Amino acid sequence: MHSLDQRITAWRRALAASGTVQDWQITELEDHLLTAFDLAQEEFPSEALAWEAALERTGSISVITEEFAKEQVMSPLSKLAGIGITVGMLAFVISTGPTPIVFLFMPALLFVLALVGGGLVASFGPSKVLRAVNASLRGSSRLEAAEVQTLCEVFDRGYRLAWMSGVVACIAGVIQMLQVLSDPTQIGPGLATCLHGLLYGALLAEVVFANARQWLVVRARATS
Amino acid sequence: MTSKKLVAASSEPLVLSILSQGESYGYAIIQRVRQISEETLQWTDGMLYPVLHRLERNGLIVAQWGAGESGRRRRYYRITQDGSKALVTEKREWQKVNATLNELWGASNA
Repeated sequence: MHSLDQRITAWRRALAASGTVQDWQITELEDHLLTAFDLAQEEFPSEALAWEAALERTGSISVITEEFAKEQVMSPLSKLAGIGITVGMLAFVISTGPTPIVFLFMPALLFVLALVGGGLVASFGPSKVLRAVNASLRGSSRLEAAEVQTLCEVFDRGYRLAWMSGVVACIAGVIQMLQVLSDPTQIGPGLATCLHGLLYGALLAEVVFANARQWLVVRARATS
Repeated sequence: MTSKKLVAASSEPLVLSILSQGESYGYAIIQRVRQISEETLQWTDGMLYPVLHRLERNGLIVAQWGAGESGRRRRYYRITQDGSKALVTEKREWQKVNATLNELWGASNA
């Protein structure tokens, strides 16, 4: 026969094991459960029956953890940490090479950013783009699912634009090279535009836009 | 018994309305909903708390720990100014929906 303390401990352990309910939330739920238990003891002859009634009233472990799982949010810091790790590792790898600055080529970077930024603003307007960025980083449970879907379109478009601009930069670089094929010493800038543009486009698409969209999608699932 | 979707949709305005009448805690909020709805609105009690925490994250209510009657730690909630403003908006929207449905159902019954 279990004592009340043993029942409470087992219940707390089961909730904590789910990973979706934090310790202070369990304490709050425990007060609720025990309030229900105190009232059930007036109705039921045995402690065991009163406990079962209180559990039924409060909700099963699976129902509670499912509801709490829907509300789990990723903090902006966690989101930025992911990008920070990627950028940090890239920077580390680049810095260990003989000439790290060779990975930075401003004309290609500006080319890609201009195409992506201009394309997004032309498609959605600056306020919607800013709204999408804000919703992705900060999240908002007040967004309706349809609105989340609309904001996801911004990141879908950004993803396609990033890859497109990388490819266009690559083609532009090749055209530049073909112009000066007769003088091999002049092909450097064209080659740099080609390869750097493709690199920046790929990183922007897969690291920035794909992740930003995923954050919004997770939010949509959590609040549906 | 009211449908689950409708219960879920009405959870925030219900909680804000109850807290607009004074500070309260989870169990008492559930009891109040059952009492006012004459047991037609039934939640699994544990489902209330994610709603409370969401309202708190959004700044519509604030919470502080206190002690319950038996001395157990208990979280008490009260509505904020932003919560009161949000409640006004919710009232207006629900009243619009209610008026529209009454119009349609009244017309169809005529």
